Amino acid sequence: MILLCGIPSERPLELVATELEDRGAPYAVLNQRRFAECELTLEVVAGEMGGLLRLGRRAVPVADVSAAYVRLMDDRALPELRGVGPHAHLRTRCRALHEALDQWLEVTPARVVNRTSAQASNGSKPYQSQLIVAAGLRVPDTLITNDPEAVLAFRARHRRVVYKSMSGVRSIVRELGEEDLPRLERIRWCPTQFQERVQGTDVRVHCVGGEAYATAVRSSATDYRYGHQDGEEARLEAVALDDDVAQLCLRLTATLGLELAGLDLRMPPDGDPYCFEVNPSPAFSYYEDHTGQPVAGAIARHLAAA
Amino acid sequence: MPLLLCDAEDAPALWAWRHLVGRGVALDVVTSADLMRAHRWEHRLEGGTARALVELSDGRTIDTAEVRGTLNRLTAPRAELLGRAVESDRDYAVQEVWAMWMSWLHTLPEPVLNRVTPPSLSGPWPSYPQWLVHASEAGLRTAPWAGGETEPPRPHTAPMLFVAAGAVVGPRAPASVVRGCRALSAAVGCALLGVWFGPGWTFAGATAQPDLRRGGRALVDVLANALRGLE
Repeated sequence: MILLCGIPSERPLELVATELEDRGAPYAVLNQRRFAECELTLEVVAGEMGGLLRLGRRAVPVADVSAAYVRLMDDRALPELRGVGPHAHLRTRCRALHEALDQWLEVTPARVVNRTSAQASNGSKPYQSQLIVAAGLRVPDTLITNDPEAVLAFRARHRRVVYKSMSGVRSIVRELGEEDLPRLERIRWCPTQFQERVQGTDVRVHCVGGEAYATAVRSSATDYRYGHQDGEEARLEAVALDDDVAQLCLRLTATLGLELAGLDLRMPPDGDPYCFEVNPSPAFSYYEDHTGQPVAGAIARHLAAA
Repeated sequence: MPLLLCDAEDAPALWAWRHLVGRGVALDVVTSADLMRAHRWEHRLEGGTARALVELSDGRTIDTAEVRGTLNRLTAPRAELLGRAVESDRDYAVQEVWAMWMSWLHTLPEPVLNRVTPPSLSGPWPSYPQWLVHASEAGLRTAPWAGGETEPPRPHTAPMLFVAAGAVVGPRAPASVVRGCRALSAAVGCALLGVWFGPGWTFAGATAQPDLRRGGRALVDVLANALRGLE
């Protein structure tokens, strides 16, 4: 039995469910928005975690789950909890379900795409960068500081510099321009991450089950994810990776303990690629819908093979 | 320069500091408040190498290249120490500082007890049922647990063994229990671990932030050797 966790209408989950159906692979869905109809009771006996997952009228022994695809949103922000007080029964019950789910997913022998612990490196981009370097890929020169003078020297050396968040909080990558310099003093109150801006083509690589799917993204925006806000639509195209680069991406994915990852690379005109980030819960559907690359099929195969 | 990273209120850490200094390990105490109020941070990843320089407001400087041995008990950045951050920015700022500390801690050279284990800054924090699974896999005896049950009570007199850099310290215990504690520490990647036991040396819980005072002088000796890199 394969378990899908998340919101069924959300595109990545929807695509994987469709692929599983096409393959005739048995699966169940834990619909996060119907948490009130779900219950997970766990037990540990002789060091093994077992239990029963109730999904509406359906009951699934957790021992029967061979693989899980987890794409949960922050349960505190579910629409069903809007206006619900912090100590209300509904909210407490929702949190308890998610806590139990996480406890089980962390230790089950089932294949989990992906465990919370494996995703945690993404909570600190510079920490993750150090793991990326250790795995053999390079990262742009980076400075984290609360010293405006150090930023100016860094910018003078690299000429073009971007700034972005360090944490898992999503931010729009922006180039540090002349207009930003008058407010540079503000970083004294909170260290900020600056990076050399490297030239080249953005390539998103989805790694799953020993396969790597690369998509080139052509955009003149500093952050192509938000290029449309400035009238810069991105063009996506399936591309082939050099074998050695593909192997590095797969190795990095495995090193981080991830079953599925979306790696953000930038390919300079000459030289080795840079890796900006490894996304442990990639919205691969955006790339698949534009290019037809069968990432959902690869995820479904990987789940069904467990 | 060996470091002790902890909260200012971490009495067990400060107890260990006093005794480690007495053993000739001159730990420099740096609190989470010191880090929050640091005059200057400069953390670089350049040419594949990570390095950090922190200038504290009292004039001390921490250069990761010069640190030799760290006892790390940091828990989390405190929002109230974020100076002028307005309410709406505070959560974001805390996460940014957390992310920076995580990266900075990762640059500290060995030995480090405990290394950063995302999202925790100082060693893993599994839930109680997860500890049970890990403990059983490590060969320790565990009691059954049913969902919704609270963790077993841990009276002050309950036996506690410490694992520090592979050495096991505490009351006399069967060899299988000592082996199990060592295996548990290795399995969860936690160099400094406190393990509670119930009757019959049944596993009753574990923590990456044990009360070091319970380990007494024997634990201080082991920590001193570990921090000097003499395991």
